[in-house]
Amino acid sequence: MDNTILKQIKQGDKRAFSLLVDRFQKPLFSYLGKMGLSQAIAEEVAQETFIRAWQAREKFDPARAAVITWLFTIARRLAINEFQRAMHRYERVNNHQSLEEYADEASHASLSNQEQHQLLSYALSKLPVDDRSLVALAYIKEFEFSAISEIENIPVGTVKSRLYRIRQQLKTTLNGGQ
Amino acid sequence: MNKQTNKAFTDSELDELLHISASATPPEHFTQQVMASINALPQTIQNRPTWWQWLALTLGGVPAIMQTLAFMFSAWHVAAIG
Amino acid sequence: MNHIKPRHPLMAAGMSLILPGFGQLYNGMVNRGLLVFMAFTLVTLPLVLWVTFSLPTSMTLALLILTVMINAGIWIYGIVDAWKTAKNNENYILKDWQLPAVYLLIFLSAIFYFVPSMSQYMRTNLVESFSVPSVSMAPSVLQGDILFANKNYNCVGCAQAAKRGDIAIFINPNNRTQYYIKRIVGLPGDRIRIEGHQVMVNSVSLSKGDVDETSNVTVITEKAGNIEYQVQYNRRFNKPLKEFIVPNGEVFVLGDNRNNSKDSRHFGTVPLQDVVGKASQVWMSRSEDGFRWERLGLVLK
Repeated sequence: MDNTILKQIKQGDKRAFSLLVDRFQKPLFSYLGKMGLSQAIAEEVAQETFIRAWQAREKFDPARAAVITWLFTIARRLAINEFQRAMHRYERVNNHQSLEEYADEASHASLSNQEQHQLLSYALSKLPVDDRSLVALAYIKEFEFSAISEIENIPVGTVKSRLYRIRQQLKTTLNGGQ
Repeated sequence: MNKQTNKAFTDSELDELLHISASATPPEHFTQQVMASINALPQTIQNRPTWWQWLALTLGGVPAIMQTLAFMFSAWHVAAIG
Repeated sequence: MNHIKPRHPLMAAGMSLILPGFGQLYNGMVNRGLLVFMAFTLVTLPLVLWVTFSLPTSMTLALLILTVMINAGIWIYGIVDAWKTAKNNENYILKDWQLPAVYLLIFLSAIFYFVPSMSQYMRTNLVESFSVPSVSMAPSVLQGDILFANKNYNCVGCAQAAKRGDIAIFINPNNRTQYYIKRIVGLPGDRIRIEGHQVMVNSVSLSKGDVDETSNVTVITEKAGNIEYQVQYNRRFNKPLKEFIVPNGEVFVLGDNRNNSKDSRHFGTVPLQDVVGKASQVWMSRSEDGFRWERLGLVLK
């Protein structure tokens, strides 16, 4: 996002801000979905992210962070808050209870695409929320490890090692482990 | 029918799955939706207290602090004896 | 459309500085503001009341210092709380009542009515400090002493009634703009007679013996009521006082420094209703040579 647009946004130019919304909505929704939020909740969180970004526009310093990092930091915090709402957790648990058996027996080759996706969602839901965020960020094409490290506020080395561990964990779950 | 072997997920299969799965997508006209909410926000008056408010604070502050201190130390306020 | 007016932390803190609880009002927190103000003002009163009513006199100084510290603590809490709340209130929506006139009304009534009234109440009814410029009560109370006087004294519902031996603060009968400090020696109905160095109350001499004569000063121990104290004379000859009876509603007072004191021997008995307080504890003492630290906290009897 080039500097003139950012400057205009900081000065209160709503049209410029709408360009930012256009540019970043897809990766944002991608991230929120991969985090495990349903479409409806993802929409709410995405909207709230942009609104908060607009309200905090004067505090954003382009020299200190890329706008995408800043934006996703907001989104991450909002998404984590969502998970701390009991209702949501309850919904998710319900969706995936039946899949436990599923994961045990079937060979992945026989699973349809949709079933594979559901299995993955299930596996993701078993992860702690910080790990989910890490994985979600890693698998959106916009992010380098350095950006992830900034958003998650952990060293780059830790990002890599945690990602490795998480992928191992996901594989285990998908292959019928606990 | 062949017996299905339990083939485990490989790393690259996992990666592929993670890349394309579990995404949500922005609805049509999402940008318009967001901008509409922003327009509906309460107007921010990013103002700081005016000069006359600071003046009132300091001018009023002098007798006020004196009275507050006087109360705090009312037992210590010395009256003269003839 | 609602207006967002972010709260400015320095303004909030400043308002709580000049009047405890005021900054909380600025932040829209009426309940907390009132509580801070009430804690600051009303917490002190019962504590001081307790001190003057039932605690031993020796604890007066310590407890009054404690109440000052509690007040200071509440005051500081109010300032810090106002600051922190304002800082976190980015999107504060102004409440309908937050108008300059409202702030002014609350400020004026607090500063020019409530707070001064409570100060006045404290001084008139509970504790007041007095500085002693005269030598008339030496050696018990010295020139340069600053003392607490218990005002919860000699009034309806008060802790103590006036009694013989009390060091009392009263209004100068001949000049009602002044306070005097002397010792009450005779109560209404007492027969008083003075002969030489002897003061006779109801035919009993106050002197307990213990005459101590050095160069020019004679120090005698006296006991009035239950209270024992030293008095001093620096003249051999003292004008005698023929026996008379203290009228109803009045008391007979004498300065301990008998030859340097204008008291009831000169201006007659003092109406009880003009006796406003009883000297209790010295909290500072200054002579020409500096501070008399040894007198700090001295309980006056």
